[in-house]
Amino acid sequence: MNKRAVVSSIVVVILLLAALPMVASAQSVRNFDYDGFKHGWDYFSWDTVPGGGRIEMQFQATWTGSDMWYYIFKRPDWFRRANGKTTMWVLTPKPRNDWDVTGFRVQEGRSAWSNTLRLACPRDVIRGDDAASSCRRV
Amino acid sequence: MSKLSVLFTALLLLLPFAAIEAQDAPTIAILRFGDLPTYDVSEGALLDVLESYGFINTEESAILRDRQDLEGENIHIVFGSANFDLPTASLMLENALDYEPDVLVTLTTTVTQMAISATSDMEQPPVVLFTSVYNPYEAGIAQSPCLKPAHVTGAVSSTPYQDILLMMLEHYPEIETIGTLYDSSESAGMAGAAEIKQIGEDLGLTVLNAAVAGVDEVLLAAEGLISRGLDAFAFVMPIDLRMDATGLPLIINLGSEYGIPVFHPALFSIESGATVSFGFYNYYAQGENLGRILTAYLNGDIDIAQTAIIEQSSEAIGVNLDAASNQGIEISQDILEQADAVIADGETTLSERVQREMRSGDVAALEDRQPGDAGFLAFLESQACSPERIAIEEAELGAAGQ
Repeated sequence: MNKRAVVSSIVVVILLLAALPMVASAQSVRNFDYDGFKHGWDYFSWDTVPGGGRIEMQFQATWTGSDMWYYIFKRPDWFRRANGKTTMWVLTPKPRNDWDVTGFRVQEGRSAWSNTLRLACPRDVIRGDDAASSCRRV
Repeated sequence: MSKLSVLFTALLLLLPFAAIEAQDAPTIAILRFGDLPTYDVSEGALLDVLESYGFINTEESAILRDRQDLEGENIHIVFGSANFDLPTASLMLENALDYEPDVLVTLTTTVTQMAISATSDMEQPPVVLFTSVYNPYEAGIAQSPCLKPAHVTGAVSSTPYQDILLMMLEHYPEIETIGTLYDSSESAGMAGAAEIKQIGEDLGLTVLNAAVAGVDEVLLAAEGLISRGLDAFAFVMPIDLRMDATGLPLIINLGSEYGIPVFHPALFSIESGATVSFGFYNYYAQGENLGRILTAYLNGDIDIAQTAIIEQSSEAIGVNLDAASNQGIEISQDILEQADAVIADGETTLSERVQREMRSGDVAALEDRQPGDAGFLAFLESQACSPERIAIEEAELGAAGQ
Protein backbone atom coordinates (compact mmCIF):
# COMPACT_ATOMS: atom_id res chain seq x y z
CA MET A 1 0.00 0.00 0.00
CA ASN A 2 1.53 3.28 -0.97
CA LYS A 3 1.72 6.35 1.24
CA ARG A 4 -1.16 8.07 -0.50
CA ALA A 5 -3.45 5.06 -0.04
CA VAL A 6 -2.57 4.90 3.67
CA VAL A 7 -3.37 8.58 4.12
CA SER A 8 -6.65 8.11 2.23
CA SER A 9 -7.57 5.14 4.45
CA ILE A 10 -6.86 7.17 7.60
CA VAL A 11 -9.00 10.03 6.30
CA VAL A 12 -11.85 7.63 5.56
CA VAL A 13 -11.64 6.13 9.06
CA ILE A 14 -11.60 9.61 10.64
CA LEU A 15 -14.61 10.62 8.56
CA LEU A 16 -16.47 7.46 9.54
CA LEU A 17 -15.71 8.04 13.23
CA ALA A 18 -16.87 11.64 12.91
CA ALA A 19 -20.13 10.45 11.37
CA LEU A 20 -20.81 7.95 14.19
CA PRO A 21 -22.60 10.30 16.62
CA MET A 22 -24.88 11.40 13.80
CA VAL A 23 -25.80 7.83 12.90
CA ALA A 24 -26.26 6.92 16.57
CA SER A 25 -28.45 9.95 17.22
CA ALA A 26 -31.07 8.76 14.76
CA GLN A 27 -31.60 5.46 16.59
CA SER A 28 -34.81 4.31 18.16
CA VAL A 29 -35.07 3.37 21.80
CA ARG A 30 -34.74 -0.40 22.11
CA ASN A 31 -35.97 -2.90 24.68
CA PHE A 32 -38.27 -0.46 26.41
CA ASP A 33 -39.71 -2.36 29.35
CA TYR A 34 -41.19 -1.92 32.81
CA ASP A 35 -41.52 -3.86 36.02
CA GLY A 36 -45.30 -4.11 36.10
CA PHE A 37 -47.69 -1.22 36.11
CA LYS A 38 -48.54 -0.30 39.67
CA HIS A 39 -49.37 3.38 39.17
CA GLY A 40 -47.58 5.69 41.52
CA TRP A 41 -43.87 5.13 41.12
CA ASP A 42 -43.19 2.77 38.26
CA TYR A 43 -39.83 1.62 37.05
CA PHE A 44 -39.01 1.67 33.34
CA SER A 45 -35.83 0.66 31.54
CA TRP A 46 -34.40 0.56 28.03
CA ASP A 47 -31.11 0.30 26.21
CA THR A 48 -29.27 3.58 26.53
CA VAL A 49 -29.21 5.53 23.29
CA PRO A 50 -25.57 6.37 22.52
CA GLY A 51 -24.99 10.01 23.26
CA GLY A 52 -27.79 10.08 25.82
CA GLY A 53 -29.44 13.43 26.42
CA ARG A 54 -32.84 14.60 27.51
CA ILE A 55 -35.46 11.97 28.27
CA GLU A 56 -39.18 12.34 27.67
CA MET A 57 -41.90 9.86 28.45
CA GLN A 58 -45.52 10.01 27.41
CA PHE A 59 -48.63 8.01 28.18
CA GLN A 60 -51.98 7.38 26.58
CA ALA A 61 -55.27 6.75 28.34
CA THR A 62 -58.73 5.74 27.20
CA TRP A 63 -60.18 9.04 28.43
CA THR A 64 -58.26 10.91 25.80
CA GLY A 65 -60.96 9.75 23.42
CA SER A 66 -58.27 9.70 20.78
CA ASP A 67 -54.70 8.64 20.28
CA MET A 68 -53.30 11.79 21.80
CA TRP A 69 -50.27 11.45 24.05
CA TYR A 70 -49.66 13.30 27.29
CA TYR A 71 -46.29 14.05 28.72
CA ILE A 72 -45.50 12.67 32.09
CA PHE A 73 -43.74 15.16 34.24
CA LYS A 74 -40.01 14.90 33.63
CA ARG A 75 -37.62 14.68 36.54
CA PRO A 76 -34.14 14.48 35.09
CA ASP A 77 -32.56 13.63 38.43
CA TRP A 78 -34.45 10.41 38.67
CA PHE A 79 -32.97 8.42 35.87
CA ARG A 80 -29.74 6.53 35.79
CA ARG A 81 -27.53 5.27 32.99
CA ALA A 82 -25.39 2.25 33.77
CA ASN A 83 -24.22 -0.87 31.96
CA GLY A 84 -25.84 0.15 28.72
CA LYS A 85 -29.26 0.58 30.34
CA THR A 86 -31.20 3.70 31.20
CA THR A 87 -33.60 3.26 34.10
CA MET A 88 -36.18 5.72 35.30
CA TRP A 89 -38.77 6.03 38.05
CA VAL A 90 -41.87 7.74 36.85
CA LEU A 91 -44.98 8.85 38.70
CA THR A 92 -47.65 7.32 36.50
CA PRO A 93 -51.34 8.16 36.62
CA LYS A 94 -53.63 5.50 38.01
CA PRO A 95 -56.70 4.13 36.33
CA ARG A 96 -59.99 4.88 38.03
CA ASN A 97 -63.55 3.79 37.45
CA ASP A 98 -64.07 3.63 33.70
CA TRP A 99 -60.75 4.70 32.30
CA ASP A 100 -57.43 3.02 31.74
CA VAL A 101 -53.87 3.85 31.02
CA THR A 102 -53.23 2.15 27.72
CA GLY A 103 -49.65 2.85 26.74
CA PHE A 104 -46.27 4.37 27.40
CA ARG A 105 -43.45 5.45 25.13
CA VAL A 106 -40.08 7.09 25.65
CA GLN A 107 -37.55 9.15 23.76
CA GLU A 108 -33.92 9.62 24.75
CA GLY A 109 -31.67 12.32 23.38
CA ARG A 110 -32.07 12.58 19.64
CA SER A 111 -33.72 9.20 19.24
CA ALA A 112 -37.01 8.41 17.61
CA TRP A 113 -39.83 7.31 19.93
CA SER A 114 -39.62 3.83 21.39
CA ASN A 115 -42.12 1.11 20.70
CA THR A 116 -45.30 1.59 22.72
CA LEU A 117 -45.76 -0.48 25.84
CA ARG A 118 -49.41 -1.42 25.59
CA LEU A 119 -51.35 -2.18 28.74
CA ALA A 120 -54.67 -3.83 29.41
CA CYS A 121 -56.40 -3.53 32.73
CA PRO A 122 -59.14 -5.99 33.76
CA ARG A 123 -62.57 -4.45 33.87
CA ASP A 124 -64.07 -6.76 36.46
CA VAL A 125 -62.17 -5.38 39.43
CA ILE A 126 -62.92 -2.45 41.63
CA ARG A 127 -60.48 0.22 40.59
CA GLY A 128 -58.07 1.69 43.00
CA ASP A 129 -54.53 1.41 44.20
CA ASP A 130 -54.49 -2.39 44.22
CA ALA A 131 -56.33 -2.91 40.98
CA ALA A 132 -53.75 -1.07 38.92
CA SER A 133 -51.16 -3.74 39.66
CA SER A 134 -53.37 -6.24 37.84
CA CYS A 135 -52.94 -4.35 34.56
CA ARG A 136 -51.02 -6.50 32.13
CA ARG A 137 -48.76 -5.85 29.21
CA VAL A 138 -50.32 -6.76 25.88
CA MET B 1 -105.04 49.77 42.95
CA SER B 2 -105.85 48.33 39.56
CA LYS B 3 -104.82 44.82 38.56
CA LEU B 4 -102.44 46.33 36.03
CA SER B 5 -100.57 48.41 38.58
CA VAL B 6 -100.30 45.40 40.93
CA LEU B 7 -98.78 43.42 38.10
CA PHE B 8 -96.44 46.29 37.24
CA THR B 9 -95.31 46.63 40.87
CA ALA B 10 -94.70 42.88 41.09
CA LEU B 11 -92.63 43.00 37.93
CA LEU B 12 -90.59 45.90 39.30
CA LEU B 13 -89.93 43.94 42.48
CA LEU B 14 -88.80 40.92 40.48
CA LEU B 15 -86.46 42.86 38.19
CA PRO B 16 -83.52 43.03 40.62
CA PHE B 17 -83.69 39.25 41.03
CA ALA B 18 -83.61 38.77 37.29
CA ALA B 19 -80.65 41.13 37.07
CA ILE B 20 -78.83 39.26 39.82
CA GLU B 21 -79.44 35.97 38.04
CA ALA B 22 -78.08 37.42 34.78
CA GLN B 23 -75.06 38.79 36.61
CA ASP B 24 -74.43 35.46 38.29
CA ALA B 25 -74.00 33.72 34.97
CA PRO B 26 -70.27 33.60 34.26
CA THR B 27 -68.87 35.49 31.28
CA ILE B 28 -66.41 33.72 29.04
CA ALA B 29 -64.42 35.41 26.28
CA ILE B 30 -63.10 33.07 23.58
CA LEU B 31 -60.26 34.80 21.78
CA ARG B 32 -58.07 33.70 18.89
CA PHE B 33 -55.40 35.28 16.75
CA GLY B 34 -57.11 34.55 13.45
CA ASP B 35 -59.45 32.20 11.67
CA LEU B 36 -58.48 28.63 10.88
CA PRO B 37 -60.75 25.62 10.44
CA THR B 38 -58.77 23.81 13.14
CA TYR B 39 -59.66 26.54 15.65
CA ASP B 40 -63.32 26.09 14.73
CA VAL B 41 -62.97 22.41 15.60
CA SER B 42 -61.34 23.09 18.98
CA GLU B 43 -63.88 25.78 19.87
CA GLY B 44 -66.69 23.48 18.74
CA ALA B 45 -65.40 20.74 21.03
CA LEU B 46 -65.35 23.20 23.93
CA LEU B 47 -68.96 24.17 23.18
CA ASP B 48 -69.89 20.47 23.03
CA VAL B 49 -68.62 20.04 26.59
CA LEU B 50 -70.45 23.17 27.80
CA GLU B 51 -73.64 21.82 26.21
CA SER B 52 -73.24 18.40 27.81
CA TYR B 53 -72.95 20.08 31.20
CA GLY B 54 -76.01 22.24 30.61
CA PHE B 55 -74.28 25.61 30.45
CA ILE B 56 -75.80 26.14 27.01
CA ASN B 57 -78.90 24.65 25.42
CA THR B 58 -79.39 23.50 21.85
CA GLU B 59 -80.73 26.85 20.62
CA GLU B 60 -77.91 28.77 22.25
CA SER B 61 -75.43 26.29 20.86
CA ALA B 62 -76.64 27.00 17.31
CA ILE B 63 -75.95 30.72 17.84
CA LEU B 64 -72.52 30.08 19.31
CA ARG B 65 -71.44 27.78 16.47
CA ASP B 66 -71.57 30.84 14.22
CA ARG B 67 -69.31 32.70 16.68
CA GLN B 68 -72.10 35.07 17.61
CA ASP B 69 -71.94 36.49 21.12
CA LEU B 70 -74.52 35.10 23.51
CA GLU B 71 -76.03 36.38 26.73
CA GLY B 72 -77.40 33.04 27.73
CA GLU B 73 -79.39 31.82 30.68
CA ASN B 74 -76.46 30.10 32.36
CA ILE B 75 -73.45 31.59 30.66
CA HIS B 76 -72.42 34.64 28.64
CA ILE B 77 -69.97 34.08 25.82
CA VAL B 78 -68.20 36.67 23.69
CA PHE B 79 -65.91 35.88 20.79
CA GLY B 80 -62.92 37.63 19.30
CA SER B 81 -60.65 37.05 16.32
CA ALA B 82 -57.79 39.28 15.18
CA ASN B 83 -56.99 38.26 11.59
CA PHE B 84 -53.41 37.45 12.67
CA ASP B 85 -52.77 41.15 13.26
CA LEU B 86 -51.16 42.35 16.49
CA PRO B 87 -52.88 45.77 16.81
CA THR B 88 -56.24 44.12 16.12
CA ALA B 89 -55.46 41.47 18.75
CA SER B 90 -54.76 44.22 21.27
CA LEU B 91 -58.11 45.87 20.55
CA MET B 92 -59.84 42.49 20.71
CA LEU B 93 -58.44 41.90 24.17
CA GLU B 94 -59.40 45.38 25.43
CA ASN B 95 -62.90 44.84 24.12
CA ALA B 96 -63.13 41.44 25.82
CA LEU B 97 -61.92 42.87 29.16
CA ASP B 98 -64.66 45.52 29.00
CA TYR B 99 -67.12 42.67 29.58
CA GLU B 100 -65.34 41.92 32.89
CA PRO B 101 -65.09 38.26 31.99
CA ASP B 102 -64.63 35.49 34.51
CA VAL B 103 -62.58 33.44 32.07
CA LEU B 104 -60.51 34.27 29.01
CA VAL B 105 -60.16 31.25 26.73
CA THR B 106 -57.21 31.98 24.48
CA LEU B 107 -56.10 30.13 21.37
CA THR B 108 -52.54 30.68 20.14
CA THR B 109 -49.35 31.74 21.85
CA THR B 110 -49.65 35.40 20.87
CA VAL B 111 -53.15 35.96 22.25
CA THR B 112 -52.25 34.07 25.43
CA GLN B 113 -49.17 36.24 25.94
CA MET B 114 -51.26 39.38 25.51
CA ALA B 115 -54.00 38.11 27.83
CA ILE B 116 -51.52 37.36 30.59
CA SER B 117 -49.78 40.66 30.13
CA ALA B 118 -53.11 42.53 30.36
CA THR B 119 -54.37 40.66 33.44
CA SER B 120 -51.30 40.00 35.58
CA ASP B 121 -51.51 43.30 37.46
CA MET B 122 -55.23 43.01 38.18
CA GLU B 123 -56.29 42.44 41.76
CA GLN B 124 -58.82 39.82 40.70
CA PRO B 125 -57.80 38.78 37.21
CA PRO B 126 -60.01 36.58 35.10
CA VAL B 127 -58.83 33.02 34.74
CA VAL B 128 -56.84 32.51 31.52
CA LEU B 129 -57.22 29.06 29.94
CA PHE B 130 -55.14 28.51 26.85
CA THR B 131 -54.72 25.98 24.09
CA SER B 132 -53.10 25.83 20.62
CA VAL B 133 -50.04 27.23 22.34
CA TYR B 134 -46.52 26.21 21.39
CA ASN B 135 -43.35 26.97 23.36
CA PRO B 136 -45.10 28.75 26.27
CA TYR B 137 -41.94 28.83 28.36
CA GLU B 138 -39.83 30.53 25.72
CA ALA B 139 -42.73 32.94 25.11
CA GLY B 140 -42.79 33.98 28.77
CA ILE B 141 -46.30 32.65 29.41
CA ALA B 142 -44.84 30.63 32.28
CA GLN B 143 -41.46 29.38 33.42
CA SER B 144 -42.52 25.76 33.76
CA PRO B 145 -45.76 23.78 34.17
CA CYS B 146 -46.21 24.97 37.78
CA LEU B 147 -44.13 28.16 37.87
CA LYS B 148 -46.86 30.24 36.30
CA PRO B 149 -49.31 33.01 37.16
CA ALA B 150 -51.92 31.64 39.58
CA HIS B 151 -54.82 32.57 37.29
CA VAL B 152 -53.38 30.81 34.25
CA THR B 153 -53.31 27.24 33.01
CA GLY B 154 -53.78 25.39 29.77
CA ALA B 155 -52.49 22.82 27.36
CA VAL B 156 -49.34 23.00 25.31
CA SER B 157 -49.34 21.33 21.93
CA SER B 158 -45.88 20.01 21.30
CA THR B 159 -44.20 20.26 17.95
CA PRO B 160 -42.39 17.16 16.74
CA TYR B 161 -39.43 18.94 15.15
CA GLN B 162 -37.16 16.06 16.02
CA ASP B 163 -39.44 13.57 14.31
CA ILE B 164 -39.78 15.79 11.23
CA LEU B 165 -36.01 15.96 10.87
CA LEU B 166 -35.54 12.24 11.50
CA MET B 167 -38.14 11.44 8.87
CA MET B 168 -36.56 13.87 6.44
CA LEU B 169 -33.11 12.37 6.90
CA GLU B 170 -34.44 8.83 6.59
CA HIS B 171 -36.17 9.52 3.29
CA TYR B 172 -34.02 12.29 1.87
CA PRO B 173 -30.50 11.53 3.13
CA GLU B 174 -29.02 13.74 0.43
CA ILE B 175 -30.30 16.88 2.20
CA GLU B 176 -27.37 18.57 3.91
CA THR B 177 -28.66 22.07 4.56
CA ILE B 178 -32.00 23.24 5.85
CA GLY B 179 -33.38 26.74 6.07
CA THR B 180 -35.96 28.11 8.50
CA LEU B 181 -37.75 31.43 8.41
CA TYR B 182 -39.74 32.99 11.21
CA ASP B 183 -41.41 36.28 12.01
CA SER B 184 -39.36 38.11 14.64
CA SER B 185 -42.55 39.18 16.47
CA GLU B 186 -43.84 35.61 16.80
CA SER B 187 -42.27 33.95 19.82
CA ALA B 188 -43.44 30.46 18.86
CA GLY B 189 -41.72 30.85 15.49
CA MET B 190 -38.54 32.13 17.07
CA ALA B 191 -38.46 29.31 19.63
CA GLY B 192 -39.30 26.75 16.96
CA ALA B 193 -36.51 27.96 14.69
CA ALA B 194 -34.04 27.74 17.58
CA GLU B 195 -35.21 24.19 18.32
CA ILE B 196 -34.91 23.15 14.68
CA LYS B 197 -31.41 24.60 14.59
CA GLN B 198 -30.30 22.75 17.69
CA ILE B 199 -31.76 19.40 16.65
CA GLY B 200 -30.66 19.79 13.02
CA GLU B 201 -27.08 20.55 13.99
CA ASP B 202 -27.04 17.61 16.41
CA LEU B 203 -28.08 15.47 13.45
CA GLY B 204 -25.22 16.79 11.36
CA LEU B 205 -27.17 19.23 9.20
CA THR B 206 -26.21 22.77 8.37
CA VAL B 207 -29.08 24.93 9.60
CA LEU B 208 -29.63 28.45 8.29
CA ASN B 209 -32.10 30.72 10.09
CA ALA B 210 -33.58 33.98 8.92
CA ALA B 211 -35.84 36.30 10.89
CA VAL B 212 -38.16 38.66 9.04
CA ALA B 213 -40.07 41.67 10.34
CA GLY B 214 -42.95 41.31 7.93
CA VAL B 215 -44.15 39.72 4.74
CA ASP B 216 -42.20 42.23 2.63
CA GLU B 217 -38.94 40.65 3.75
CA VAL B 218 -39.88 37.00 3.23
CA LEU B 219 -38.95 36.63 -0.41
CA LEU B 220 -35.54 38.21 -0.06
CA ALA B 221 -34.74 36.23 3.09
CA ALA B 222 -35.85 32.94 1.53
CA GLU B 223 -33.80 33.54 -1.60
CA GLY B 224 -30.83 34.40 0.59
CA LEU B 225 -31.14 31.05 2.37
CA ILE B 226 -31.51 29.13 -0.90
CA SER B 227 -28.41 30.77 -2.36
CA ARG B 228 -26.37 29.46 0.56
CA GLY B 229 -27.39 25.82 0.23
CA LEU B 230 -28.92 25.29 -3.16
CA ASP B 231 -27.63 21.84 -4.04
CA ALA B 232 -29.00 19.83 -1.15
CA PHE B 233 -31.51 22.10 0.51
CA ALA B 234 -34.92 21.95 2.15
CA PHE B 235 -37.08 24.38 4.07
CA VAL B 236 -38.10 23.14 7.51
CA MET B 237 -40.55 25.64 8.92
CA PRO B 238 -41.43 26.29 12.56
CA ILE B 239 -44.98 26.83 13.81
CA ASP B 240 -45.40 30.55 13.18
CA LEU B 241 -48.91 31.83 12.59
CA ARG B 242 -47.87 35.22 11.27
CA MET B 243 -45.47 33.63 8.79
CA ASP B 244 -47.99 30.94 7.83
CA ALA B 245 -50.73 33.48 7.16
CA THR B 246 -48.76 35.51 4.65
CA GLY B 247 -45.21 34.30 4.07
CA LEU B 248 -45.65 30.56 3.57
CA PRO B 249 -47.20 30.81 0.08
CA LEU B 250 -44.19 32.87 -1.04
CA ILE B 251 -41.76 30.28 0.29
CA ILE B 252 -43.74 27.50 -1.36
CA ASN B 253 -43.64 29.32 -4.70
CA LEU B 254 -39.88 29.59 -4.39
CA GLY B 255 -39.74 25.90 -3.54
CA SER B 256 -41.52 25.07 -6.78
CA GLU B 257 -39.25 27.39 -8.74
CA TYR B 258 -36.02 25.92 -7.36
CA GLY B 259 -37.19 22.34 -6.76
CA ILE B 260 -36.94 22.61 -2.98
CA PRO B 261 -39.24 20.68 -0.62
CA VAL B 262 -40.97 22.45 2.26
CA PHE B 263 -41.45 20.48 5.50
CA HIS B 264 -43.94 21.93 7.98
CA PRO B 265 -45.08 20.94 11.51
CA ALA B 266 -48.80 21.73 11.00
CA LEU B 267 -50.65 18.85 9.37
CA PHE B 268 -52.90 21.04 7.21
CA SER B 269 -50.04 23.19 5.93
CA ILE B 270 -50.13 20.87 2.90
CA GLU B 271 -53.30 22.73 1.94
CA SER B 272 -51.17 25.87 1.67
CA GLY B 273 -48.73 23.95 -0.50
CA ALA B 274 -46.16 22.50 1.93
CA THR B 275 -44.67 19.32 0.48
CA VAL B 276 -44.68 17.19 3.62
CA SER B 277 -46.23 18.00 6.97
CA PHE B 278 -45.77 16.16 10.21
CA GLY B 279 -47.60 17.37 13.25
CA PHE B 280 -50.38 17.67 15.75
CA TYR B 281 -53.85 16.68 14.65
CA ASN B 282 -55.97 16.15 17.79
CA TYR B 283 -57.85 19.39 17.37
CA TYR B 284 -61.11 18.05 18.77
CA ALA B 285 -59.43 16.46 21.78
CA GLN B 286 -57.53 19.62 22.66
CA GLY B 287 -60.76 21.66 22.64
CA GLU B 288 -62.49 18.95 24.63
CA ASN B 289 -59.73 19.00 27.25
CA LEU B 290 -60.03 22.76 27.55
CA GLY B 291 -63.80 22.34 27.91
CA ARG B 292 -63.18 19.84 30.69
CA ILE B 293 -60.96 22.32 32.54
CA LEU B 294 -63.43 25.17 31.96
CA THR B 295 -66.50 23.27 33.19
CA ALA B 296 -64.59 21.89 36.18
CA TYR B 297 -63.56 25.44 37.06
CA LEU B 298 -67.10 26.81 36.60
CA ASN B 299 -68.43 23.99 38.78
CA GLY B 300 -65.84 24.72 41.46
CA ASP B 301 -64.13 21.35 41.05
CA ILE B 302 -60.58 22.55 40.35
CA ASP B 303 -58.25 25.25 41.57
CA ILE B 304 -56.57 26.93 38.60
CA ALA B 305 -53.56 27.96 40.69
CA GLN B 306 -52.87 24.30 41.46
CA THR B 307 -53.53 23.06 37.92
CA ALA B 308 -50.31 22.44 36.06
CA ILE B 309 -49.88 23.33 32.42
CA ILE B 310 -50.11 20.03 30.57
CA GLU B 311 -48.41 18.95 27.37
CA GLN B 312 -50.17 16.97 24.70
CA SER B 313 -48.85 15.64 21.45
CA SER B 314 -49.86 13.69 18.42
CA GLU B 315 -48.34 13.05 15.06
CA ALA B 316 -49.80 12.61 11.63
CA ILE B 317 -48.13 12.92 8.27
CA GLY B 318 -49.48 14.98 5.41
CA VAL B 319 -48.27 14.87 1.82
CA ASN B 320 -49.01 17.21 -1.05
CA LEU B 321 -48.30 15.17 -4.17
CA ASP B 322 -49.14 18.13 -6.40
CA ALA B 323 -46.53 20.31 -4.71
CA ALA B 324 -44.00 17.47 -4.77
CA SER B 325 -44.58 17.05 -8.48
CA ASN B 326 -44.05 20.78 -9.08
CA GLN B 327 -40.82 20.64 -7.10
CA GLY B 328 -39.63 17.44 -8.74
CA ILE B 329 -39.51 15.73 -5.34
CA GLU B 330 -40.19 12.02 -5.13
CA ILE B 331 -42.43 10.90 -2.26
CA SER B 332 -41.60 7.38 -1.15
CA GLN B 333 -44.26 4.72 -0.88
CA ASP B 334 -43.34 4.37 2.79
CA ILE B 335 -44.30 7.98 3.55
CA LEU B 336 -47.46 7.69 1.47
CA GLU B 337 -48.54 4.58 3.35
CA GLN B 338 -48.07 6.36 6.67
CA ALA B 339 -49.73 9.57 5.55
CA ASP B 340 -53.01 10.63 7.17
CA ALA B 341 -53.65 13.48 4.76
CA VAL B 342 -52.83 13.35 1.06
CA ILE B 343 -53.45 15.95 -1.61
CA ALA B 344 -53.48 14.61 -5.16
CA ASP B 345 -54.90 16.41 -8.18
CA GLY B 346 -56.24 19.11 -5.91
CA GLU B 347 -58.26 16.67 -3.81
CA THR B 348 -57.56 16.12 -0.09
CA THR B 349 -58.02 12.65 1.38
CA LEU B 350 -57.99 12.25 5.15
CA SER B 351 -57.56 9.08 7.18
CA GLU B 352 -60.37 8.03 9.48
CA ARG B 353 -58.51 9.07 12.64
CA VAL B 354 -57.89 12.58 11.33
CA GLN B 355 -61.44 12.92 10.03
CA ARG B 356 -62.65 11.97 13.49
CA GLU B 357 -60.58 14.79 14.98
CA MET B 358 -62.17 17.33 12.66
CA ARG B 359 -65.73 16.61 13.81
CA SER B 360 -68.13 19.11 15.34
CA GLY B 361 -71.42 19.04 17.18
CA ASP B 362 -70.63 15.79 18.99
CA VAL B 363 -72.58 16.48 22.18
CA ALA B 364 -72.50 13.47 24.47
CA ALA B 365 -75.04 12.81 27.20
CA LEU B 366 -73.60 13.88 30.52
CA GLU B 367 -73.54 10.35 31.94
CA ASP B 368 -71.64 9.15 28.86
CA ARG B 369 -68.97 11.76 29.09
CA GLN B 370 -68.45 11.93 32.86
CA PRO B 371 -66.17 8.87 33.22
CA GLY B 372 -63.76 10.23 30.62
CA ASP B 373 -63.89 13.68 32.15
CA ALA B 374 -63.27 12.23 35.59
CA GLY B 375 -60.23 10.46 34.17
CA PHE B 376 -58.86 13.65 32.73
CA LEU B 377 -59.43 15.53 35.98
CA ALA B 378 -57.78 12.70 37.91
CA PHE B 379 -54.79 13.06 35.61
CA LEU B 380 -54.70 16.81 36.30
CA GLU B 381 -54.90 16.05 40.01
CA SER B 382 -51.99 13.63 39.73
CA GLN B 383 -49.98 16.41 38.10
CA ALA B 384 -51.07 19.09 40.60
CA CYS B 385 -48.71 21.89 41.55
CA SER B 386 -47.84 20.66 45.01
CA PRO B 387 -45.16 22.50 47.01
CA GLU B 388 -42.83 19.56 46.27
CA ARG B 389 -43.37 19.80 42.55
CA ILE B 390 -42.91 23.55 42.58
CA ALA B 391 -39.67 23.12 44.53
CA ILE B 392 -38.43 20.57 41.97
CA GLU B 393 -39.25 22.86 39.07
CA GLU B 394 -37.53 25.79 40.78
CA ALA B 395 -34.47 23.63 41.36
CA GLU B 396 -34.47 22.48 37.73
CA LEU B 397 -34.71 26.04 36.48
CA GLY B 398 -31.96 27.05 38.87
CA ALA B 399 -29.75 24.20 37.63
CA ALA B 400 -30.42 25.26 34.06
CA GLY B 401 -29.34 28.78 34.99
CA GLN B 402 -32.69 30.43 34.23
